[in-house]
Amino acid sequence: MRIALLTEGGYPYARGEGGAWCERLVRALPQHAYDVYALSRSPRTEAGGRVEVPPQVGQVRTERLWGEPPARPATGGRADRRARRAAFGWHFGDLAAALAGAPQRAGAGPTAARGRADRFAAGLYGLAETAAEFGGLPDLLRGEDALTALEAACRAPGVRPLLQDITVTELLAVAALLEHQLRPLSLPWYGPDALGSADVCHAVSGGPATLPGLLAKRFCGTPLIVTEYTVRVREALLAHRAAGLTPAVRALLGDYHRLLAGESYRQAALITPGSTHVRRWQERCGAPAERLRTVYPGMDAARFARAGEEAEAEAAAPAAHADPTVAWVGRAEPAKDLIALLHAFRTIRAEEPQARLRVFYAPATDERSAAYLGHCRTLAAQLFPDEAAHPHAVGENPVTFEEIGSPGAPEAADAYAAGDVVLLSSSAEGFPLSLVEAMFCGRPTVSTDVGAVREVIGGTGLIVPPRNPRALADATLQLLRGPERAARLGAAARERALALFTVSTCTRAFRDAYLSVVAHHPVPREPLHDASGAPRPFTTPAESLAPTTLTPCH
Amino acid sequence: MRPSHVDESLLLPGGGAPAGFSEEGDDAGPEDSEGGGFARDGLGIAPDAGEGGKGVGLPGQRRGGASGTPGTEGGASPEGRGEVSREKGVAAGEAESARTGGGREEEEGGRRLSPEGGDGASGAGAGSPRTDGGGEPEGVRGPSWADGHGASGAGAGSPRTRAGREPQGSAEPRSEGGRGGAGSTAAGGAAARTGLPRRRGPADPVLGVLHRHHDMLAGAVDMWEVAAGLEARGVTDADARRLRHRDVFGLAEELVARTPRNGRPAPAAGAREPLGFGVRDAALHLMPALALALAAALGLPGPAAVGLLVAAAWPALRRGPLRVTEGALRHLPALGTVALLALARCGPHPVGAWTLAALALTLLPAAWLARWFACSARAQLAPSHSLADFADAVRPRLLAVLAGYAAVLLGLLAALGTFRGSALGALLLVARLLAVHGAARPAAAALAAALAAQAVLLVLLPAVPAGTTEAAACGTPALALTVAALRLLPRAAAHRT
Repeated sequence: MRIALLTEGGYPYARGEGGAWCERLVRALPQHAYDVYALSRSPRTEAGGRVEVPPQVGQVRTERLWGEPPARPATGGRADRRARRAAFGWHFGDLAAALAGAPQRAGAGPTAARGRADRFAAGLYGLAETAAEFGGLPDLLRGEDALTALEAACRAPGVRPLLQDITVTELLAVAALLEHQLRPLSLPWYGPDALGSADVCHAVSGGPATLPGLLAKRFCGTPLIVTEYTVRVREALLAHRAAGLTPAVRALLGDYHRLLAGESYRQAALITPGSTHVRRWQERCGAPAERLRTVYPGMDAARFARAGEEAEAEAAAPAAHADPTVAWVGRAEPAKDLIALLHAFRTIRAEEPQARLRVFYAPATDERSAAYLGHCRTLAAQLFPDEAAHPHAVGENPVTFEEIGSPGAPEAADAYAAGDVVLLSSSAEGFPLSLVEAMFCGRPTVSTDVGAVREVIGGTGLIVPPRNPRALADATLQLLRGPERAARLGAAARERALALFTVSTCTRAFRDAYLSVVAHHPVPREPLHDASGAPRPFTTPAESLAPTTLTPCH
Repeated sequence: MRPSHVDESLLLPGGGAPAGFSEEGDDAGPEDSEGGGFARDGLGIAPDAGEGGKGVGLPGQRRGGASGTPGTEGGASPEGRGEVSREKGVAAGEAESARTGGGREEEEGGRRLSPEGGDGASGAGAGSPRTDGGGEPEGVRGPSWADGHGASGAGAGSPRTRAGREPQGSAEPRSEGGRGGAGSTAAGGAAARTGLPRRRGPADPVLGVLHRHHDMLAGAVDMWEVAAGLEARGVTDADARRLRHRDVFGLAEELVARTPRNGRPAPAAGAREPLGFGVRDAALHLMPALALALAAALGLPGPAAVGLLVAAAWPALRRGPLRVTEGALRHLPALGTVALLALARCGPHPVGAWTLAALALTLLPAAWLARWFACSARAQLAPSHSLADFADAVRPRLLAVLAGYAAVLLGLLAALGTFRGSALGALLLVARLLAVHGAARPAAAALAAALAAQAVLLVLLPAVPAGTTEAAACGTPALALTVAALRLLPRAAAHRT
């Protein structure tokens, strides 16, 4: 089966997010042939270079969603240009009206919402068809026609006041950013040698990566699978805010991302959110519940196997240590709320004077996290003076900050193993990878109730409210003082993690997903037999002909 | 002080239920002495409470009686709550304005009412912020509730208008001035009696959220952005449920509805982009003229002079304000320009060497004018409210540029005693301006037309004086191109940065 992986700002770029996950998926299912269609999000993505792709990856095509558009050779005569402009104006007008939310007809309620999504889809596919017929659109998207259409849509009666007063600068900004986002429309990716040859399109993130998949479905009938581990719509909204865009620009672009996500969820044969949190956003954006199937991201359990086995051996004879150690492992960021951790540890230490806190941090990559780490070190030094066993000994601090890879913890597994209890003190969190790793290591954990923590831990660890150091300290003390309970929780956590969060669980889910999607949504492809007369696989699967659904999927 | 009354009223049988509460506040008020005190409290916080206790008691009771029926309805069905609060708002507003008749109060009442009427569904949560709060199990809730009513009773809608600005219990500051001393002693005694902690923070827990995330809410455009921002700041569905919303999205909806919409911030009158045309640029653009003057002085032949001109103008046109950065056809106008200049200098009726030097000298004012035009048009982008406005503002500047260039060119040529080359110069400037602003196609077409027309005229009508041929062949395309420029250059798309 030929699978087209659609990525944005990720695989095969080394610095992309989700690259490791894609790599594992591709290597774990070598029976399929893969093509990678990558959109790069920023110059930074490209500066990191690309990873080496395994042999089962055929072609790798890339396109930039930033910078100047590729120069398009002027083609066609005057009549062609005029027709192109007219078609563009018509379809872009539809798209702009959908973005501005201009009421199409008198009416409200669900029909109006539906009408908006339909209008967006009509505009989007219309633009794609214009691009396919007359060549790329970048010049038109940046031209005066696009600005006029946007202005007309914003000034239409019934549009919110925020957009009614849009200024010329904002119109230009919206047009430029939309041009970036709509670049996949102009790509030569939809022919029989590219996406047309794929049996399944698998968009490994939501948002812009799904756009080629939507067009492949439109032009070639290729079914689409959307996998989202972070909510792309949410990220886009936050990024717009952080970039300091003006409100009118944010309103239009936010709606673009949301409507695009909604359209991709509607068209997808299968949507696999990575956690309930993602699933909630997807449902909110219009994903049909029957096509959602949560697939947790698979993690490499082998790295933690030794630590996990040691924990099991330890659990056979649980005993409290003389110097109970609390560990924290992760990337130092303000959202991790290390301050609360330090305050909680202060309470713990008041009860258990021998307790130690070891903070293991991943090497800081950016200025911000380095600054935050420095801030936390200062706070720790202020809260906890150095201590020595007797007057002639050199003292040391009960709180240590160690980088993963330093002698104290050569690997992440050692960091987790160093703690009798592993804490997660985040005030905001997506899918807590460090918690899953602690579970693999069989450590008892105390975590704050943020993001997908509750879903991940599922009763095999303690949960406290975020930003509540006292509760965090109390729960930790319970585990430090009850080693039997801690050992039981640790063992249960390890079992849970091995059952749910391993790579094989994840890849097995996608192997089944590919087969069932292809079975139910075969690409209509002629001829049915290849050159030697043998039937071509996946052209007419039995399931696609059955009058009823044979499997529960979709 | 307020807590005292309310504690007791809430400790009465049934007092803790949501329905019970609104009955207590509004219905039972007139009969029950505690409730009456409460109602007085409620109104005592009203903006005009300076009148003192006695005067306040009466309207309070009257109000309680008036809004009795909606109060019970509100307790029974959650949908009715919006109605209730709105009614209460109306009642209170009327009572106040009737009592004082002052313009200020009327304005206050009106302000309170207007947002409620306009906001529709969200009004339910906002008008009487936590009307459903009575069911909360914790004891702390009781007093906080009472305050909630204190606040909402004070001017049923007031939390809405004031909430964003002073969320820490909008009621407190006002109560200072208006309330009599009697209440406070009673309150102290009651607090000591029941031993319940004094309430801290606002009655309405959402007010706290509003305050905490004020900076994020102030600039948010819709509930999606607010929901994303809340989640990024660690607000979870569990928190939202504590505030009696189904999830973060519901909370976001309420927050958006309750955040005061301050209009669009005035566009920053940001520092005007500097013209950036310094001595170096000027020197660069003078080079061709100097080179041609030297050539004229040395008596170099025509082709050599044109070659020298191209070589000397190249760096200026690559780096200066007249550089062409985009467009698939961007090299065509340059080719046309060279061809026209070559024809003018080396054709059958060549222009003088000094004429060519004068043309080259106009490169300097042309570059300066082009830079000025680009800068002032870009500065016009922000204050313009529509594309038509922008075009109207830019068109006179374009005319000024063209007129300025024409004046310089004609002045120079007049000093040389000839007008040959004036049409050519104008055509070259307009073509270059169009190419600089992304319209290379019409520029190239006009240059090609001028070239062809000149060639045809030279072949067909060799007897016509060279000046006339040139004026006709270059002037007509120049005029056509000027018309096109007046249409194309005032477009905003031509000035994107």
